[in-house]
Amino acid sequence: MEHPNKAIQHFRRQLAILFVLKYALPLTTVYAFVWGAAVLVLRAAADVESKSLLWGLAGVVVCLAVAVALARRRMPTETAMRALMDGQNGCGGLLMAEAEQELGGWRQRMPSLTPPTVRWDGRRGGALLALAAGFVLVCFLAPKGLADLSADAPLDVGQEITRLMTQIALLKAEAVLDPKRAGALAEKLAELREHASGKEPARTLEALDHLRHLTQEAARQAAEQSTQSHQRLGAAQALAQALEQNSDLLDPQLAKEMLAELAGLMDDGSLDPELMQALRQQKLNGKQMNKLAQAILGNKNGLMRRVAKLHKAGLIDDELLARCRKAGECDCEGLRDFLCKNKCYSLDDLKSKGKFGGKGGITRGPGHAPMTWGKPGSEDDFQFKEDVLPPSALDSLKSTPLQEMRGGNVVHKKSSDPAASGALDGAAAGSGSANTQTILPMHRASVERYFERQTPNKK
Amino acid sequence: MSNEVVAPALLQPEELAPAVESTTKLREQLDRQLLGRSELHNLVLVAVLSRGHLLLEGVPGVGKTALVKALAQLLHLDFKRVQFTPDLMPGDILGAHILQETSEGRREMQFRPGPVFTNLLLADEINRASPKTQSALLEAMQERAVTLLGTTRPLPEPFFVLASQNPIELEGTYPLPEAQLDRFLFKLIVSTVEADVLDRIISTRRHGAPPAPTWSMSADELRRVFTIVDRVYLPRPVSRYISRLVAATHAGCAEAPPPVRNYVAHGASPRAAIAIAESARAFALLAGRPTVGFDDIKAVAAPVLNHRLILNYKARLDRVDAFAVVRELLAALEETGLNLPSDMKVREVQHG
Repeated sequence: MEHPNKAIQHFRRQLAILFVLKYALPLTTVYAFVWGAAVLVLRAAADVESKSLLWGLAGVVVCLAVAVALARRRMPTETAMRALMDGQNGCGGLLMAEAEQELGGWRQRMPSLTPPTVRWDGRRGGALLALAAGFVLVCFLAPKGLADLSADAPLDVGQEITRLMTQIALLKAEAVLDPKRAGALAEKLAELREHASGKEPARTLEALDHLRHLTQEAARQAAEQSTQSHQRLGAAQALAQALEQNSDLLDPQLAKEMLAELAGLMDDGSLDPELMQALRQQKLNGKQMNKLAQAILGNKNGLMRRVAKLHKAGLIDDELLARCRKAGECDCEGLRDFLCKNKCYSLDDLKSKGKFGGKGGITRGPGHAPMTWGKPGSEDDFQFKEDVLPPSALDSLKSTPLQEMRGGNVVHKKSSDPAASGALDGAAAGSGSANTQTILPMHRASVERYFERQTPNKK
Repeated sequence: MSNEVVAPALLQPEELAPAVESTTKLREQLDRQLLGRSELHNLVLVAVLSRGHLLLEGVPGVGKTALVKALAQLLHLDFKRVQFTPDLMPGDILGAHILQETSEGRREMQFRPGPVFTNLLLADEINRASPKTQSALLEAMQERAVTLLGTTRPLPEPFFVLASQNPIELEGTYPLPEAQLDRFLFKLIVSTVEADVLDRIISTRRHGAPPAPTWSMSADELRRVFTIVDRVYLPRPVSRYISRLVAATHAGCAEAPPPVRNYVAHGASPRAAIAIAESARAFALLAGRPTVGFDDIKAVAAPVLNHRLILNYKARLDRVDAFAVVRELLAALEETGLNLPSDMKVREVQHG
């Protein structure tokens, strides 16, 4: 037989453990989830070391302490436990009476006591706690990179930077950009590639846009320059071909002036000095003339290749490319036909004659055909539509005072002023729809600044 | 000055033994005289030892009157029987003043005591008397005294009313009012006995007459047993359980189980709690114990409460009786007050 008090203590211990478990499981589970979340946040946001976060284990101890306190509060009284033992062991009230009375001879007759067992299903709570513990473990063991929210998300601008690098290299190769400038731009691009951040994509993208704009602007200027050169070379080619192939049709003065014009057009250092010298002296033989034509053609082709490269690299658009290509076209056959038809004695004569005519139509030709006028129009049978002002508008117009600007000052004319006679006689300021406004003192300075006048007071 | 009763020292085995021996003999004699009703006899003895009144309900011929007669014979108590009829008047029970001429020749009103002035009154078919006559018993049952013409006369000690009523012949009957029902400690249902018992009665007894008792209890001995019953100890958890049990018979109580909430119109009175406590003491004594346990309460709860619970019409429609409600109440109410959470269960101790 177990002593009653021992049996009760045994039961009390059993019950206390169950109560502590009952309260500790949910508390610890909740704490574990909170702790895990805190670990994750601190590791990610504040870059806190995992080891220092192990201090959170102290919270488990706190949870246990709270569970113990709750269990103590929830524990049934000893009287109730004694009553349960009494009922369960069939003591018939003797065990209960023992707490209040001396049993005396009944002590020996008390039946043997067996502490009852209490069942509590903690599987669900246990499973949740295991889940929470797993969560904490994962939060601690998660790779730092995965957890690091402060790290910049990479911004994928590699493709754009590579394209810009290629463009800059092309501009450098084509001498559009000087090497120093090209190097600086490339350096900037490399820097951008290194510091490209998903945190501030606008900054990176703006910088890229700026660099793109710089390169495209340089390319556009180069293309425009090439267009002008191409146009010049086209003109030079036309002159050269005319001199080479139509020398018999040319007046000597015109040929002389054309050679001088050609020399002026080709005076860019691209020609062989000997050939250039001969051109300046207007002593070109046939061979040299042919050589000049080849040189012009070569230069034109070189320019077009350059512009085509810029276009292929995406630095200029199709329109500019077409414009450039068109600028260098020379209508040599047309010039020859023109020279055959029109006898020109000087270059100015040729130019003035060339201004007229054209090929006709509205889309072809230079469009400088002389304007012709037919019969001039007349105002007869035309009448403007009259619009009668409403009386109120008329009254307000009449009540509007006349103003005139005199010496920088706004002067209100008196109604008695003879010069103020007319429809606006006696008009008062501000009450009508006339374009007169009273200038408020606060606006005076603005108005004066607008008209750049000085008031007498400021003088 | 405090009115609290100081609990006497716990009855020691040697003090308890004579009373247990006497009551055991009494029960044996009762079982010997009336066959096959030992459980009923136990409860009847509990009522007697608790000095409570008893209402026996059963069809005619099941031995209600025989039980009361046998009890009176075994206890050596004065026994009177009143057959209640609709024309029975209160004076027929309590007694009346009659004009008498004395030896000196003077005429004076003298009190002629009625049959209530006895130790054991058998009120046969009590529900046949009018409410006026039934209520004549109220004072006698509660105060154990009779007041007539301003004079209160105490009834002999002990005084028990053992009433019987027939549950099937309801025509011309007057159901007992709740106030009177409440004065009965127990209401016991006397049912028919089994065939084997009937066979024994027929074969061993001529005209059903019980054998003469071989032992009887004297009035003094009965008083001593009463004293012992009073000393049976009621532990605090048990008294607390009684209080909760009676409180839970009211539908408004927080601990009331669903059957009580659904079917009980009026719960038990404080007198019921007292009755349970007193009868549980007697029950424990009959079991040979000096203390009352939870099982004693459960044993006497149904006979104490069944006639005190006033059920509503819904119970009648659902054919739910008071016994079923008490059974549910006992099953639902946790007796120890351990108040464990719902997800914790105490596993019953298995006794070898």
